Amino acid sequence: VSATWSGRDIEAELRAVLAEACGRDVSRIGADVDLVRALGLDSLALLRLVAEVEVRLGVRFPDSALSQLRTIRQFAEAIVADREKSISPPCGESLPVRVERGNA
Amino acid sequence: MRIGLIAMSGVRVRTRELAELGVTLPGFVNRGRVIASLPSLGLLTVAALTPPGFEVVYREIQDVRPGDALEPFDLVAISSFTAQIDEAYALADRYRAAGVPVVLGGLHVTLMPDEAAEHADSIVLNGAEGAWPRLIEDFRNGRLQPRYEGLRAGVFRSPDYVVPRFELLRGRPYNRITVQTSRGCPLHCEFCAASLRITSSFQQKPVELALGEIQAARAVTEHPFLELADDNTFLNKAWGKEFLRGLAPLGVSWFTETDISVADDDELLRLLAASGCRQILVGLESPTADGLAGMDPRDWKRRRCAQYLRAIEKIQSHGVTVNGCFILGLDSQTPEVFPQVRDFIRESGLIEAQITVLTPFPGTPLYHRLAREGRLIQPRFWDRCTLFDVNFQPRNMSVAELESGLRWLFREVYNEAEVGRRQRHYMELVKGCPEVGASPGFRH
Repeated sequence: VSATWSGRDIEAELRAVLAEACGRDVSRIGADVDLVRALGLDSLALLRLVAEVEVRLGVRFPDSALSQLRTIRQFAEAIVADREKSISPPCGESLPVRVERGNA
Repeated sequence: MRIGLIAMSGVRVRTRELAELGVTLPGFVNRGRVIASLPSLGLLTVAALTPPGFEVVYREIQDVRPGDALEPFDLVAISSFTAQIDEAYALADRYRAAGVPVVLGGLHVTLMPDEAAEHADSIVLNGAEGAWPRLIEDFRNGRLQPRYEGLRAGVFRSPDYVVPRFELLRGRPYNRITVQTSRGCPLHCEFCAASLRITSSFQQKPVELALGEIQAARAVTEHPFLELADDNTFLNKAWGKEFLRGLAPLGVSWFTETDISVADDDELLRLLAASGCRQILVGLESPTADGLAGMDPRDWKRRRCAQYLRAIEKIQSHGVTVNGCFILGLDSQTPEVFPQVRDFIRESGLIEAQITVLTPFPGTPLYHRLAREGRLIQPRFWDRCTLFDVNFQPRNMSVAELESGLRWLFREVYNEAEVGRRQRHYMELVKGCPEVGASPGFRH
């Protein structure tokens, strides 16, 4: 795991962004729960959320992946993939992502 | 007494190749799904027009399984669009065979009253306002009449105006709730089978009534996303600004249909964005002026065509997306239209595009003209009025060319890469848009 960030850090960052953007507590939303359903988003609201994540976390997701970002786990994996592009881990290993499962 | 209000929904494409294609294209089915899952505002209005003393039950056709016993009602009212009218007739026939009187209403019934009357004890033409209270009174007294004519004007005035009973939707999983602020459209496009066919003139709801309905609608859903069931919401810009100023504090996200002239008014665009408008659907119809000739009696759309690109850019720069609608098979279009539409969508930066085939809905001026010209493929094709199935002989291409061109265009426009490109465009727009911002708070 990187010395500066981990999957758990990413999840925490992500949940903070979601909570602020949506104005509600997202701590109990499970990692694999569909955010569209859990947060009552329409398709454009979901894209605004993706844009917010990009701005706040300094990442850029591939256009081809935008439709697939529906859960916290999917977001986290996409963030890791983006950061991997700019940070090469030792020995070329992939950075593990561990997203805690929530209660929802 | 128990009255069952049954809404028909769930239009299905009939052409096999198109149906199969829709499964694989992510952008193709989105709008269709939205339309299919909208509640029936007409029946919620009927419910509100029903006097006290009756139990009113709202059902979607999906609640009525073909093999199951019929839910017991003393009176059944069914509203349907053209594509599902045969299913509506079959259900009406079942209820009537069981001894339950049936009332049919809606756009198709208004345009094809004699046909509908064969499957109903009574039909309601035009809107329910001005008709349903009389019908119920007659039903209560055992003298139900075969035909009632609702109002074609003045529907938003007392004593005929009512707030639809949105609370009947409580507990149902609708993505969107519909609210109407106007009925009709003065453009009178030849093909249109919308509310202008049940009105004598464009009618706009007073702002305070429209806002009151929106408050009633948002009370029944945790995540309010409203779809205005209008044909052209912002014809009257002064009305529009007053409406939007009142709407902004209500905290809803919403969608509507209007014409491209909203781009003429900067203040209106700012108010649109600030009020939570996420998308306007605009009937662009064709990417070239030639294709729009004769579309409407005043040639308004043809004259506006040259401004399309600039107008779309301006509207979307405020963070309000445009869903541009195109119709294929117009008389002046040749097979060149297919790449023209694709190129226009790319060049314009439209966030969403709705591509349909010219459809001669029964009772419209288009239907009558094509019938006169001997260009209808078959005289009765109601279940194919899906907006995607070809039912007429185009003037400047063959049916096969239109069908294959449609499929080609769908692949070009709705594939994953193009959808992703349009999604990226929207995200970049909102990142740089102060009215919307990338951090919208989602207005819930």
